[in-house]
Amino acid sequence: MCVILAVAGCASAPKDPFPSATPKAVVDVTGRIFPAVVRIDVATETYRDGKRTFIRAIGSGVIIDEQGHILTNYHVAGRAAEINVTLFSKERVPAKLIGDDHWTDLAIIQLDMEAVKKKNITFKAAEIGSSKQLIPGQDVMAIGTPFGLARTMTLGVVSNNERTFYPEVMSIDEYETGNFSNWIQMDTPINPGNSGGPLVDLTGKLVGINTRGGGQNLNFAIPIDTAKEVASKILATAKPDRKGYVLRADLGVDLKPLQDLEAFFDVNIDEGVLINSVDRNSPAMKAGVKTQDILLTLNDYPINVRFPEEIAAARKRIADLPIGEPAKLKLKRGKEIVTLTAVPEKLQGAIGEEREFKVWGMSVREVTRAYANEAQLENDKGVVVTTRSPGLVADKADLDPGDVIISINGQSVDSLEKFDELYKQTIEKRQPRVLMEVTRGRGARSAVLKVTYAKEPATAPAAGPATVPATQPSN
Amino acid sequence: MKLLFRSMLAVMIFSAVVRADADADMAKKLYDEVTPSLVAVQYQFKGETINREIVGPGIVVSSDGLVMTPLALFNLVLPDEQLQDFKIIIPSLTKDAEEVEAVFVGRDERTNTAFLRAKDKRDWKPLKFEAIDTQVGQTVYSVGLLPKSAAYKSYLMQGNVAAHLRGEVPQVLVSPGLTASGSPVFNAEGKAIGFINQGPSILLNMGENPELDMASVNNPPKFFTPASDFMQSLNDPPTAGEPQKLPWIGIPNMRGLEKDVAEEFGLKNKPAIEIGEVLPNSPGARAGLKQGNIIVKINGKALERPDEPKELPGIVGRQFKRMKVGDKVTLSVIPAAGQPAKDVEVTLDEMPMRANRAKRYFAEDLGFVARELVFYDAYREKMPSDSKGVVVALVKPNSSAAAARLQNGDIVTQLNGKPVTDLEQFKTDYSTFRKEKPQEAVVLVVIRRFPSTESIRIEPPQ
Repeated sequence: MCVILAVAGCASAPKDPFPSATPKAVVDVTGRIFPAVVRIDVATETYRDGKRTFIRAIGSGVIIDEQGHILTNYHVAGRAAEINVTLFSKERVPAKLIGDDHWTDLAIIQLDMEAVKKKNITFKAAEIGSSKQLIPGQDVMAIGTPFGLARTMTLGVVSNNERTFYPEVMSIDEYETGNFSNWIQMDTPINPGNSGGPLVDLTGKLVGINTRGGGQNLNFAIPIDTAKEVASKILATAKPDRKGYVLRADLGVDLKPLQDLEAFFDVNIDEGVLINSVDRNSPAMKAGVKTQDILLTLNDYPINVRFPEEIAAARKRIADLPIGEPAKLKLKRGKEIVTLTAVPEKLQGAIGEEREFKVWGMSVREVTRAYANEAQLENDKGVVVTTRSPGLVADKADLDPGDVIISINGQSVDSLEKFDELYKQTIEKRQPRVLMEVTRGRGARSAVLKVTYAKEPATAPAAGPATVPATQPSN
Repeated sequence: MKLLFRSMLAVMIFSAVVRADADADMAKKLYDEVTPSLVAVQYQFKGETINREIVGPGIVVSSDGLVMTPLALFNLVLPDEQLQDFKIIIPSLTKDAEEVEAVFVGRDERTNTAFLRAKDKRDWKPLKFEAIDTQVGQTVYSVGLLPKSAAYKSYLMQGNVAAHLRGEVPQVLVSPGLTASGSPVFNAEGKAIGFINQGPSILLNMGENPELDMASVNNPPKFFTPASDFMQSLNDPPTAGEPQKLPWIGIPNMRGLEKDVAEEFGLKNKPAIEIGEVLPNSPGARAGLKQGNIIVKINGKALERPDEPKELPGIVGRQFKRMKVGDKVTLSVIPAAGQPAKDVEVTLDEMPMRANRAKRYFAEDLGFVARELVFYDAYREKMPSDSKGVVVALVKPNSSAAAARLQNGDIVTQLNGKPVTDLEQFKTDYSTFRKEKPQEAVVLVVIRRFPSTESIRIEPPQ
């Protein structure tokens, strides 16, 4: 600490809360953070032409503890089936996915510690700071492997410490993101490959995870306070046979800031948030919440969203509700005050789990409530077709991406599990014709899959794995 | 022997030349006879924010000046009340084109045509269409109009029938091609036997864009509709001032059964249609039709065999369209696989009003158009059919409404906290509010992708 303070030129003065980028400080911090920065090479799972395939990509990451846990972006490693990490020593070791959270665009991977020991590699964990006291104008440094180039340091300032993109909805490969936290905006150059790397202040402490380059010097990082919470939840839920996750609650409401609408709704400034929309079949709808209600308190905690910057915090307040436990909502409806009780459900994104079904030449996804709402489906039953192998069974039966399969051979498909089960049954029985009921747009129709089988019964009817297995082959 | 052969050859060549000349004479005669029946039709599209002059091809079909055009010239997207100042332009090779006033008789969706009538009484030279079949290989001629930039000069093309396609609308394929969409087609005897109703361009006034303007010359249409398909319109054209009453059965979502599915229902080689949806309170619903029913016969007759199953809904839909409101139609339907067909009698209703006839109101200061909510808006949004509101039909770019992110297709259900019931009420409430409080913002609640809603505050220009 003394060194840093000396570098900041105030060894004897009171501690500088915003140490600045003197040449010595920059060089020193760079030297200290480099051993914690890694390059991540991934093979990411994707579905194309009815098949599970892989795309190779490069990102960055930062080591956060002695066990070799690395914090990176969801869009770098969240759907990786194979991960290799290049350390500061230039040594390369395999890593596995521990857990992920697309809502905050974060993922945790872990170095294969046996390989680390075997090769006698040393590494350092970054010192974790706090993003709360970051202020616009403060010097920050971004480190990563842009375009796969080995460790690169860039320098800039915090441009805005509470950037929100509202009302735009952000997404990463179709997955919703950025709903529950604001961003750090900085002019520190970020390029493809920087994703997942650390943003540090001039004391060398981790303050953010570099995530998006906006071009024209508008770059965005996830605040470390958000990342700390997500990382601890992922690490707490991760098991050897399943990925760690962040459990969030959902009421199924769209919130809107009240700025300029206070007079119209006759509310005090800095009071409440507008319920802009209520999802079909959502806990809020079941509880009787209506569009145009003003949510004043949630379990007696006041909710105040006047400005777009305050939206993420209010959403997080809902997300943090205990799932299944009745929550008290105090609402202003016209001139009345209404108190309702809603039972929060587990938050699910619009993009459900996806699997491939090789024999039928197609991949399908679970229909989630959010997807049903978005696609204007009446309920979340069934699975939605995502891709087909050209010229194969599903394609020939004229199934299109977006079609929702609601029954197979007269048995209703209410989930991906059920679909998988019925799929396997038809293969076991070697059924040459499979009758499906499918909805497309408003209408329903029948489709017949004509399936041919190899002479010998297939030994293992192959559905793709549910998700990337947590235990990866260590290759 | 050699000499004889040579002279025979000479004779053959000579006769071929004579025949070609005879063809040329016949074609020239046809061209001269037909040209006076070809006119251009012109009207103004007067939208709230834009004006366009639209010119397309027409054929005089009766001596009192009835003119037939392709339906596409009067796109259903355009509100009827914004189509104005109809004119018929009579081209001339020797003097300036003459413009005469006309009235819009109406669209005829039974046959994909539309009609105008000249107000002027004069010696119109109508073409008489005849439902005469064609054979593959036979010679056909078409005579059309070149665009405005070529002074609407008529031009002739000659070709041979190459194939007959069923399609949604029967089509005759001609090699190497035909004149522009909207032109008549003739057989070698000079009889009008068809109408070209599709092509790369329907407009005759794309002058600023030479590429589009000459599209039909550079890339000639190759299909025509035989007269048998549109004789119904010529014998019973729409009536001016009376929008055509189309029949309606209420099963908007039909699908021709593909071979594999047909076999599942025991319908090998039998064209059949699966009903994808039966709208509540529609004639189909009242008659007891259900989603998943398979239609195999209409009025006791098996469905016509399409070239491919995808065309069947179009073919059958057109068959229904050609019936009359109040007609009773008997459908033989198979309720489910393995069950016998049963007869269902449906009494056809009138098709609900569509957006092109909905009343509109331009909230000019804020820059958006509201129009009556029609049946199809609720259908599109999957809303209950008795939903109330008005539809945002247009948002002027860079207006206050655009800045507030109001969107085309939004369904306005509340204005300043008060429910919107219909356009009249919206218009009254809106204009009163704007008059009394011209500086104050308007707050709308709209449905955007039902059941999602959006609250929108539009600040007026200060």
